Amino acid sequence: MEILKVENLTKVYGKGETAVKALDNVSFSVKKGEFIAIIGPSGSGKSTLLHLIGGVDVPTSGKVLIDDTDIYALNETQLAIFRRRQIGLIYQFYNLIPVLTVEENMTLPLLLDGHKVDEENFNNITKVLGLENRLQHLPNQLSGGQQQRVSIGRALMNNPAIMLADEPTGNLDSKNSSEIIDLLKLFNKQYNQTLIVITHDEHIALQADRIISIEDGRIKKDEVIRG
Amino acid sequence: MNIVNKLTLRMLKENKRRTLVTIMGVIISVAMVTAVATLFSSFMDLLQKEAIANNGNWHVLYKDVDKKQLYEIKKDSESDTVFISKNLGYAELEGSKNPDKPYVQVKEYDSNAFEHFSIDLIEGRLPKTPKEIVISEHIINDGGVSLEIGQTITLQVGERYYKLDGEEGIAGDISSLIYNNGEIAETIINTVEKEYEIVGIIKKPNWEYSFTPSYTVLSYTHEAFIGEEDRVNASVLVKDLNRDIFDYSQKLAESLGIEEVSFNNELLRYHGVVEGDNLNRTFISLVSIIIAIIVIGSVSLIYNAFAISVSERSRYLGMLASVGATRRQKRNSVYFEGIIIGLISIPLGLVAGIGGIAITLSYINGMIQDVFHLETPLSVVVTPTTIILAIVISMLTIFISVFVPANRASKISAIDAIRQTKDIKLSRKKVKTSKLVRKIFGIEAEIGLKNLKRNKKRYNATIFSLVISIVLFLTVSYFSNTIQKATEMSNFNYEYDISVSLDHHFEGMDQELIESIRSLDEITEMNIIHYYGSIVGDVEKAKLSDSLQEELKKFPDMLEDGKYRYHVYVNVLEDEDLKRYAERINVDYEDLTNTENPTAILFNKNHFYDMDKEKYIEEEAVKLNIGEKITLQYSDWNTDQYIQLPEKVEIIAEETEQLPLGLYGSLHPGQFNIVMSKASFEKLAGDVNIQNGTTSDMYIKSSDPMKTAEDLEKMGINKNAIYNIYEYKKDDEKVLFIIGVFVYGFITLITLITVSNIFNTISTSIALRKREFGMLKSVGMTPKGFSKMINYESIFYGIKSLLYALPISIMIMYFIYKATEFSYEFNFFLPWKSIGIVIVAVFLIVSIVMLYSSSKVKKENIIDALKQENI
Repeated sequence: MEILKVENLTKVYGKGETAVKALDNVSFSVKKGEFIAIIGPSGSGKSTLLHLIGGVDVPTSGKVLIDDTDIYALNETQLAIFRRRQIGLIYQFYNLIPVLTVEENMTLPLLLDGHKVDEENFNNITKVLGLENRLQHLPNQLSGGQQQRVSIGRALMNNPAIMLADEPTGNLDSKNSSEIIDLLKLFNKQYNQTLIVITHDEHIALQADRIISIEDGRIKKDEVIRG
Repeated sequence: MNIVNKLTLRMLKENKRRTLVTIMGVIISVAMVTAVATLFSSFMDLLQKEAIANNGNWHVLYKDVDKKQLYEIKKDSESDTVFISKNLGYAELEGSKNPDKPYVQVKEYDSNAFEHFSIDLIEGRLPKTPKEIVISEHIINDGGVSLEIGQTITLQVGERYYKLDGEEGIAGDISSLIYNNGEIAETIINTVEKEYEIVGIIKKPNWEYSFTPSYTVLSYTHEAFIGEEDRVNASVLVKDLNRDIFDYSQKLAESLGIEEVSFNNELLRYHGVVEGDNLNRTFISLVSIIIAIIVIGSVSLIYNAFAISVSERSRYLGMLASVGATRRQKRNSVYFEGIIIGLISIPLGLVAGIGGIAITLSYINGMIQDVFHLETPLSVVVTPTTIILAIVISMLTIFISVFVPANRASKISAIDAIRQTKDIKLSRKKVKTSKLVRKIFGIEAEIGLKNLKRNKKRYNATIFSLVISIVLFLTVSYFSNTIQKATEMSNFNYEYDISVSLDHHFEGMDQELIESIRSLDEITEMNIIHYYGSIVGDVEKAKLSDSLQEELKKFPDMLEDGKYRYHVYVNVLEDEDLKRYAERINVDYEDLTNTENPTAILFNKNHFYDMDKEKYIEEEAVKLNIGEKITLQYSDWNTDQYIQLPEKVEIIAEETEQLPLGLYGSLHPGQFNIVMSKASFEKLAGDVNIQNGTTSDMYIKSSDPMKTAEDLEKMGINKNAIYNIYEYKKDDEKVLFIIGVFVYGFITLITLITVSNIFNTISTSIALRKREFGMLKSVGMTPKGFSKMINYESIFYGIKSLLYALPISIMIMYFIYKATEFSYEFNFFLPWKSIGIVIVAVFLIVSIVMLYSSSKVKKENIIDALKQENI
């Protein structure tokens, strides 16, 4: 079953002479439960692609279909709600809100929806992430690896259709990095969570089911390693 | 509480300093609005009380109603309190020593009427039966009739019947005693004998006019005493006072067959029921202007606070957006912040405003009562309307301030947060700074200037708030100056306290009396001026004043034989006084007493209002030079002839500033004042008998004018000759003081708002730049260089904001000037003092805030600062 379909996605920054084509007519699709690594040099357009899939940026042309929903056909509010329920984003710099506790940061998407937190699910996730003793801490009381685990928790909380991670280990040492990747893989396998990861790290890329390499805004290679 | 609001609350707690400054700003703003509204309602209440004291507390009066009609009025749904009164008529007051007040007027009140007609019992008690009365103390004090409590009097009560020039009739209640050729032309007829026991003495009611021929005595009545034939007046206080009262009462009267209805117009006016009253309108528009100024000042502060808060929070808002917060959620988070600020500040502001006014009034209340001759003191009155008005205006202020930042917050997108783009977008264009800046001030100045120019938006926000603050301060202080100046202008501006007009002439003056006056202890200065107002002098064309020259172009035939006839006001001073004056203005007294050639001092400055140009003009009165001699003539009004004085007078000195005490200096074109000695004047006049337009006055400055006036009277000077203007001067001073209290209070608060505004803007702007500063330090900027850079930035802020603010302020001042010109005329003046204060204050405040904020940044470790996430 295809959970994500990207059709002729193009993104141009700027206008006229200074226009830069960050993405040029990119198309591919992703099946549910796939673990995909997107690799490519700096400035190749991989972050732009991720943002477009995540619905936080707007394409110049083309479509992104998640679970058969054309996300750019939604209005802003609908898109915001769609994002909060269907997409989990993980950033290199965690993007946690410093004045909220770990628990609040993790449950933020649910709280924004005004939903009750499913205690069992929450406990389950925190246990797996190893955060059960840190729930009342503020982000700046945690190590980098712990902070990233919080953001993974946040991304998972709504049981989203797709999890997107933009260099999730870019800011971490190798021990923490492999822990984070193991966690992501765990959720991918255990919950059949679709996972798209941008990375520079070949070691990480090689653990994915499929590697898409991007150069100059185009897909250069799309190879299935295992599946 | 939902998560977004929770987040907002924590952000507010996190940024304690800014939150506090914002709350303080809102408190000041609310307090000012509340204070103005409270002052307004207190004044309205005062006026209502005055109206009640003067006319009684009633809304509608139905005249001559019978028992049945009264019953209907009482039953009416709009009537709240109904009380009855009855005029029994007039009776001779035996033994009255006031020939204009030979009667008493007997009225009957029910117990409510005693209360609502403002009857003030001094002694005894109020009557309880129709056989008891209270009498006005005026009967004893003014009428000189000795009546006492417990005494019984018999009165023949009837109507005032008059017969005058064949006309006859019954005199009304407000007609004074009717005379015919000095004989009283009225009698009291249809009398009924009444016996009363005096049970109390009341203060003279305010509604008892001094010109009516009677004193008031009041007896008791009750609804139950009204017989079938009796007619009473029914006064009504209605339940719900509004504009319909007039129509409603008229209709009620018509339907009941009551012929006469009247309204307590004065009281109704101060309840805002009567429209179209000038005083009310001026009052309301003044209050609206002041509130508008407060709102503008507050909005600029509160807006800034929220804009800063939003830009600080943009990253969190972006993060919220990335996990799926909707626009509305983002926007509401800012509104929620506004609500929280309002919830804390509005109640505190209300308390502060009311408390502030209460304290202020408690200090100046006595003065207000004195100046305006009020019956009742001004008390602080807080009505629900005041509170609601203050709350609504404050909420509106906050809402206006929050509206734009909230919208901006709603637009912050996830991508902004992810990319860490700043709130302030750097312009791509190369920022040019003059090479001169670097050469003169060094690289630090250049970086400072580039910082400002590059972050246009932040720079402009700071400049904007500085400009608003300066403009507000300058225009408000100009406005206040205008009010003060206008008040001063409409008041006397004499230096002396008492003037005494003396029986002419200086030969005939009682020198002994004058000397004994001079020796009075309290007198600090005294001057006797013999003034001659009927002397003219011809001046040749070239020597006329500028305005006369201009006039001449329009009316060339003003001249006679090429000369213009000036009015020369000759002021002769007593030798002793002249000596003192001569010393003061550095003129040799001996020269003035020259008996060979008459000499004079010319006071050469005229100050007058030009009707055509519509402004005040100050100019040289005449272009005579020192040493010039002029011929004078006496204008004999009886014969309409000009008689030339035998000698010419030589001008030996000119003076433009200092006048002898009491000399009137505001002369019009074609007039001038000269000051002479007795000896010179006698020589000048020779045999000519100058009679017209001469007066002699004594002008006195005293440390205790009241006592001096008494002393003068004791010395046998006619009471009518003494003008004690000290009383007026004192009242004027008090008025100026009261105005000053409010004006300076207002300026102080506006200043507080503006200073906190500047503080808020700059300190945040610095805090936002931590990382930038860290970077500069990491590449080797010394602490000294850093301070230098900050100082230059302050200077640039100051210069730029003054560059905008001063012209804008001057423009607004000119508008204010133009607007007030219609009532008060004076030349446009720039308030240099305020401008000076502003210039110094701007640099001072900006530098202090910059240094304060940057000192915090300076202490920070370079690496920590660098690690700071953007915004």
